Amino acid sequence: VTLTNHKLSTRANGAYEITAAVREAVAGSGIGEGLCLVFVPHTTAGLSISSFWDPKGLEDVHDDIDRLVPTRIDFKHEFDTPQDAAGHVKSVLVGVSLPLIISGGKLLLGHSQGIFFNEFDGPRERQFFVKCTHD
Amino acid sequence: MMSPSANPMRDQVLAAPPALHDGFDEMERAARLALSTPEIYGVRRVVLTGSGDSFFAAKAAELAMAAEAGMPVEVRTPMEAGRYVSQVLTADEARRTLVIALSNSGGAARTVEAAGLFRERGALVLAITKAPESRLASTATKSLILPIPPLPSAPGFGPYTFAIVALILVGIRIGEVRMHITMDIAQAARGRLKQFLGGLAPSYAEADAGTVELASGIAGRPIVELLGAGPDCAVAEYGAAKLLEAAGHHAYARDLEEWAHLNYFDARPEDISTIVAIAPESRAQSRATEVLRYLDRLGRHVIVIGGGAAADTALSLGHDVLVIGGNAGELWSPLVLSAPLALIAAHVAAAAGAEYGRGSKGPWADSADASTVQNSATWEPRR
Repeated sequence: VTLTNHKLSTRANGAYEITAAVREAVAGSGIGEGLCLVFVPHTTAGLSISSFWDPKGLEDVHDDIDRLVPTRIDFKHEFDTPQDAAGHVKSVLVGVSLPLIISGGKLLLGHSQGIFFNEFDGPRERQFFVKCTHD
Repeated sequence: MMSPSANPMRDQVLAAPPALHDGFDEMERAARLALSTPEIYGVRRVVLTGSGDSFFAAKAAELAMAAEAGMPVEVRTPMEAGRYVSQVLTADEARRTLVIALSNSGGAARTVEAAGLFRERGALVLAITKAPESRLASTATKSLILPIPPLPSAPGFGPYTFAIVALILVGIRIGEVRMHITMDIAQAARGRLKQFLGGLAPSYAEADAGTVELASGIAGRPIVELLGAGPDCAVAEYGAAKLLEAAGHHAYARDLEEWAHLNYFDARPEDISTIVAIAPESRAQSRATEVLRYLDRLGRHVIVIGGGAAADTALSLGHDVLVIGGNAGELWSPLVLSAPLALIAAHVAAAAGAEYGRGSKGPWADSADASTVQNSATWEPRR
């Protein structure tokens, strides 16, 4: 079992690809067959799998998330900011963990699939964890 | 709280840093929750108002607050704010104005009046006071209650510094909610402010030792003139007020530049002690250096409090200098530089055996229980 921590600085709200970092964590674990869990310890960020081919597609995802949960000033949560309050809702909808399959010592992903850290309250200093376990 | 020492004002100054640090988290939370998000988004400008120390605190915090909030901030006396400004704003301008009315006791008549007049015009009024049941708190839309512990009874220093910190925190909050600054930047600013307050105690202790001699230097001069620029202009005004309150010493403050237009021409330079309050990082250092040369040629008794090129110039000319550490930039400098001025007033009063506020006796009897500022007819606009 391995657990690795990864840092990233987000510049603004949006999707940040972390596929390479997760692949390296899997390779570094030496595990042939097992499971990989990616986890974000934040409440205004989330994880998703999406196509990496066209960055505009990622913008579409965020644009529509923003349409679902606009940053507005009537959230009951006022301890932080309107963007933060919206970020909490988006984080819940998107989720903060991703279970993935390790097969043949590699991450099993479709040919278009990338792993993305979704920032909903940026810019922030962020991190995520990757845990790999044998079958 | 009564002070056991012979110098309660000094005791109050030295008690302020731990009180500020201890009360910071409560004040931060109060500032965070003082205004709702829709209220903050409804505001287009901020008017700060208060009298005496509250006015100086507002002036001292004005620029720091504006920088953090990303919004125009102006300071008005309550007379000006209530009877004049509130009456000439359009209804729309008034509705988009946040008035922050400061009074430690919450009983300053003119400040209560200004709060009421602005509320009548539709402005959002936030009271900053230590008294939740006060007239000001009940007149304002909302209140931010300062967690000021009992302090030695003396002309105020602790409440003045609490008010400055509260205003900076409200500024950070407004800037954060309006996304002028990010949450991380806002939180870092709060952390820096708390750390800065935690480091004030040694600066104040160092200033205490140096101000005893400075006080004896000015005690023999009939007039004390205090100069400052930017936030330190408020420091100068605060310092003059403390000399008046604590020692009854004739004192006044002047903006550094305005001095060259006006007080330069005073015909009795030998009667005047001039104190220049200037932060090491002050944008006014170059002008202060010029003014110090004029002061020297006039034969004035000069003291520079702060640091930087102006302090170096004063030293080279043979004048008194009190370099004080613990600064965190010009915009927060009033929290550092006000202490030595309060201490000078404390030591001048102690050496003269002066009763604070003339003991509210004889011709000053009207001021007993703050009657001269709390009992005053309220003005009502003609309908």
